[in-house]
Amino acid sequence: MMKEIHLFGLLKEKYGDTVCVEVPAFPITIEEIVKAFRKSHSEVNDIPFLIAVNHFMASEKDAVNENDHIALLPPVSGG
Amino acid sequence: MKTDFQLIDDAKGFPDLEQFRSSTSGAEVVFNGIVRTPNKGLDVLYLEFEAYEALFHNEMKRIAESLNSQYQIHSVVLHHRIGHVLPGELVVVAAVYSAHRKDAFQACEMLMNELKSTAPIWKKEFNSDGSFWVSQTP
Repeated sequence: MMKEIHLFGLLKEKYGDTVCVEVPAFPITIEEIVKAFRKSHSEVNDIPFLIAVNHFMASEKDAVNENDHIALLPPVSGG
Repeated sequence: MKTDFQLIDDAKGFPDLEQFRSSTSGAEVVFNGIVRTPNKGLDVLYLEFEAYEALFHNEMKRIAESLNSQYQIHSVVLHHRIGHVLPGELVVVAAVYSAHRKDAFQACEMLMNELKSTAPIWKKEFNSDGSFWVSQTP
């Protein structure tokens, strides 16, 4: 099954507002989603990023479901 | 504690700080962030900012709660530009109000440090040599 991921900053510039990655089943951990994204977008392997779920910062061990809003956040630089 | 956090499209959106002043707040500390040129020896033509608005508001709320737990503050204000910003223009206005200056100075510094390290805002610099995404964290 596919999961939509929202992108920002340089990731958005490179791939667009959203990408879909293939995942085996839900629920799934953030760590597994990131692994799936990196597998299908190997050119970003050197870019660190954080993850937000439903508009809050999340950690790698958090689980997400099919309808959760997932965003990948490259290094921030406000101010 | 009163808070006001906004992402704004142009300089007209910066806050009128008069509304946050009160007789109980003896200190108002304001930080104005301005686009600087040159940067690392290159002339900056402009910066482009983008943000994740829903997460920005949640993160700013978390930062404000953290400030409030460490300092005696009355109000926290932060307005940040998004879009195209030229050298010499304001990018961010941050203000903290408290009874005494020490809390206001320290809380305003922490507010800006937290903004720069965790708020979901991204900046691309366009300079005389090309362009690049500015990276601070993670």
